[in-house]
Amino acid sequence: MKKAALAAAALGAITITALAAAVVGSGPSAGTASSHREAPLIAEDPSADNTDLYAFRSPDKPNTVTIVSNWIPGEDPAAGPNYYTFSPSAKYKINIDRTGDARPDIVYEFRFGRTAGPAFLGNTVQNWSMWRNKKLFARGKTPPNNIGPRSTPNYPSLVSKSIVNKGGLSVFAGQRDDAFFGDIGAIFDLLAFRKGTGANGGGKDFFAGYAVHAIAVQIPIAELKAKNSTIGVWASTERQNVTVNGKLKRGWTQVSRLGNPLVNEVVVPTAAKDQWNRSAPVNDKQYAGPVLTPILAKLMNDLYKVNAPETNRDDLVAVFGTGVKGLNYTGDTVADMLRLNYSIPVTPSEKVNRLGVIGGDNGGFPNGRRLGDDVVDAAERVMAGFLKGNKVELGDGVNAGDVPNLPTFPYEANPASGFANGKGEPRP
Amino acid sequence: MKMIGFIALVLAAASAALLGGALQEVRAASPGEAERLATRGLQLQQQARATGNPALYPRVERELRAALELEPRSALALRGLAALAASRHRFAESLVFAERARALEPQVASVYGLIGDANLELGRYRKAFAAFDRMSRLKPTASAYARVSYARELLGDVDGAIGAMELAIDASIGVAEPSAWSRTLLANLLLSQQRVAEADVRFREALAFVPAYPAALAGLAEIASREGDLDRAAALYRRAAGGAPVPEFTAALGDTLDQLGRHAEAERAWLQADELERLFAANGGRNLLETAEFDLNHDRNLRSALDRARRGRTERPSVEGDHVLAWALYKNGKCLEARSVSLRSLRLGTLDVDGLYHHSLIEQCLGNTDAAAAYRAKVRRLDAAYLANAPSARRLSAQAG
Repeated sequence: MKKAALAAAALGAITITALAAAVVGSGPSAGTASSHREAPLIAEDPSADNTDLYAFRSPDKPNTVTIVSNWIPGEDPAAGPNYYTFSPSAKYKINIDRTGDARPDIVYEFRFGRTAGPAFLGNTVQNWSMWRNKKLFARGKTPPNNIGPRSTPNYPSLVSKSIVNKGGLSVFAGQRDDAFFGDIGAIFDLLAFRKGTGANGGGKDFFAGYAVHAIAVQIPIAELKAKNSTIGVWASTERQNVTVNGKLKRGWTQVSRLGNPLVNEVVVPTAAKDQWNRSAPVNDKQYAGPVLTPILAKLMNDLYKVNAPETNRDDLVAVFGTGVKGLNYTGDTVADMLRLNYSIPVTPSEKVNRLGVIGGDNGGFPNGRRLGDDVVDAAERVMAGFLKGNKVELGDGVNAGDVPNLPTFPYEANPASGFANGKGEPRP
Repeated sequence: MKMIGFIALVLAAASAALLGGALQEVRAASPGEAERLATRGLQLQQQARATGNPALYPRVERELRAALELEPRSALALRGLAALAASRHRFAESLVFAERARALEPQVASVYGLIGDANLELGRYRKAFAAFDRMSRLKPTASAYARVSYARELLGDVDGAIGAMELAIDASIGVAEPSAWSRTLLANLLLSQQRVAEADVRFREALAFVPAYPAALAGLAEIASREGDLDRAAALYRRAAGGAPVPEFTAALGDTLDQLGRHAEAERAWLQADELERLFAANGGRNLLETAEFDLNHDRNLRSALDRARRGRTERPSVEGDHVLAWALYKNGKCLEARSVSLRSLRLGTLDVDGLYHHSLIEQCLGNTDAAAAYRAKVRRLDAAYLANAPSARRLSAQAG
């Protein structure tokens, strides 16, 4: 989850912009209009903002892999009239590397149409087109956002109707409940875990009740054909480049990307975020330095004396950069990709551990990522040195999302309706 | 930034002052403190702009300068100071801060927006456009699209400006104020093309995103005024002016009341606009061009307006500065000098109806009737109704020089 982005979204109304006060036209008081055109200094672009990425063997169809990619942090379901949609002039991509060289071998690209009327009237259905390696592959429609029982009755049926099955794949795009969970408020407050360094609940799920826009793709394993059965996955968003002289050629610039959770927040310095977001995983080696000596480990030691190793963190490079040997290693190319070894069987539901691999469950993070994996706790423990033998029971006190995910595609739960949303309720 | 963080910072600064050499240690003990302070300064400034309240500027400046003192290499604080200077229309100063920020963090896209804005207002268009192109290449955001749109508008490419602003709208999905802001700018462009019905829809959309959004209310007022419904226009301008202490809204309210024959009320609104300009200046804002243009449009203080226009244009040698100076020269009967400055103001090919009309008056004043007629024709093509309600053409009688 891009926490910074979410915090910014939450601040929303207050952190924004100039007044566009230009008085136009023939009035005798036409001012020097240019002075009131000031653009926002910090341009938030939530509809291009990757929030989370998941990749897992489908529990009900183990011969397939499901990738779920979320965009638009912190959608308040009751935000009408400011309804959220995919951006009609952006490209949304899910990239899969099957050879370990951190270059995409399979790219699913999505473009979305405009809503039929102004979005603020609540018409949020968008047509979409999907290309597989630049060849048109499928078309479909998003369901509407879950506005409420009168606008969007029988929401689950609207969702199942909008799943497209084509060429062995299942595809869905539309609003979902944000599967991410965590006590972001406390984490931002100097990593103040509400119950000390324990993991016994008591945290407040900052994401409860919030929605995102998701693209979910279910792919037959037979189609993946990856080296060592391990794929590297990342999602990205591109926007059109424009020039002042409109006749000059335009291209596209990647404005956001996401592989592993928390990397953007923890690893990438603020000054490099724009650069990170437009760069490709294949060039990620330049960011390995901060991973080897993470400032966060030092901060944790300063605050909580957890004895986290502060240097030589090749364990972190493995988890986030190359895959872990014997689990999901893809070679020595350092790249932020979510790596899934799909030869590892689906963990039966009663044996699923929210901490994934460090909880003894190789079916979850960092071997891919399931919707219910507690990546905040897992990442905190890994940061404290779990893989180097320093096993500290860290956690933010939020151990699951606020609503259960679905047993079948697209798995991520239905969004709370704007009518009946209970976001922000403290969790027990 | 949390209050506790702020207190910690003050304590850190105090102990740093006492301990002298221990400064480095204090800094190390509070990593990111300067960044938090700078961020707070930025948020305050965004608030100043969103509320149109220049009284916040000195506080913004204190916070950002404190951040810079703590961390002289804080590009964030430098970008904030550049943005603040631009808000105060101190563009040369803004450019200095922005260039310092760029030297430290050349990969951050937003700095090229600041550099471009400053160059634009300083009349260095090639540099400005190159900066906007760079910004768009590094990170196409609503801010980048809106800047490219404005540059195209200045170049007379209104269709291109509309296209870029539509992209800005798409890149603002999910954030209410930028959604309202980009729609309002698009509506203004549409209005300049006499696409009134489309503009009306966009202004109303903006109001759906941010209720009582002052700039959108002013836009609807403009439409009402064009349609001859001056009562409605006055009511809308009054709401816009009530929502943001921006002189233009209050001045437009005065103008509308004046047209309605409510002269005493109009006079009060104009005085209020003066007051707001003084507030802006008292908080570090530069508004020589703005106050000069206001006076010129209202046939008052013409000599002093010319003096302000000259000084203002020296500070801001942009087409806008040229435009106000040319208008001031004309109003003071100096039509020969006005002509060359006016031609400079039109040199980008901007389809600015006021500028074209003023130029037609200047040509007329010089006895160039054909040229005057040609410029009036341009005005008519842009806005058929403009000449029926044109600004006052009154001027002081010709003087030597």
